[in-house]
Amino acid sequence: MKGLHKLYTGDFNNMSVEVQPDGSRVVTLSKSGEGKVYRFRVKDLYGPNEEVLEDEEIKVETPKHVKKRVKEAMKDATTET
Amino acid sequence: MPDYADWTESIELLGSEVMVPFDVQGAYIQVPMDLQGSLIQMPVDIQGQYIDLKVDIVAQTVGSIAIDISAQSIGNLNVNIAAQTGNVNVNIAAQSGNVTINVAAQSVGVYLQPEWAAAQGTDKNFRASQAGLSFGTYGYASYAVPTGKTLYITHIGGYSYAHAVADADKNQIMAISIYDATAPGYLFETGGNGGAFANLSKPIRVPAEHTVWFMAWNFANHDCDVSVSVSGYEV
Repeated sequence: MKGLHKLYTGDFNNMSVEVQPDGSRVVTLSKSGEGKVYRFRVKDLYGPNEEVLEDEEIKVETPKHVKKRVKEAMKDATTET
Repeated sequence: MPDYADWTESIELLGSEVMVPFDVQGAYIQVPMDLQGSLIQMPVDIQGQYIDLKVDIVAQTVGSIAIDISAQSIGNLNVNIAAQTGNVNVNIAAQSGNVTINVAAQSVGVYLQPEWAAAQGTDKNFRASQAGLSFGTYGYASYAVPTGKTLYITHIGGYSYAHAVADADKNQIMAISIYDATAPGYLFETGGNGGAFANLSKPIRVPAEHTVWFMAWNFANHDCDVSVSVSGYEV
């Protein structure tokens, strides 16, 4: 339910909504600098019978191999100068 | 030899209402002044070839300060406003004129509000999509602006493409719109073939506790997948 709370308080920068064939909505919320994305499927959003059907928090993380390459590139750049 | 006599005069005036017309003429004038009162009105008209004027105002409330400087050259004009809240209004009412802002500093950023909001993390970006919409139907995202906040919309765009490969080379007529569901009415509409967008020179304002819909319509004579994207900021 944390995602829905974020939506109602406006505590996000990006909101993506995918309308599903059954009329429910998959809402994805993210915020700059926050290491999590909140995704939930909701029925009757903002309506009297609003119901969250699924809810998940996704950790935002740069893959380790990319981190390693960035670190190496930064090191090389420092050495070259 | 000086043209005028030298004067040093201390003046102390105490009264419920004091009015002092002040006319000083001299080759070299020094006037230290300390005024303390519940109400101070002091129109000052200074005309001289060279003026060095330092003004330090400390008051609970400052009514209005009008500054009109007309000089051939100005050395430094420093304006330092340190207040918890305040408005600085620059009102230029001239039939013709130039406003030149020349910032010559090693590190300076000048932002418009939407850019500043992105830098500060108060920007808002919305996107909604729906697949397989038939003619005259729409997909939308809804958002209720929280209490105490105002949403300003500066950009809207969207696209539409055929749901079925057989319709891919046909016209994909679509429209995008912003709808206030609390005070029912459309705030903005545009459309096109395959997509449309608009950068708004004047932001659309959505007040607190209003629910707004960002809509993408299909107006092609076959099923389409549509999307709408809206950007702005919320403060």
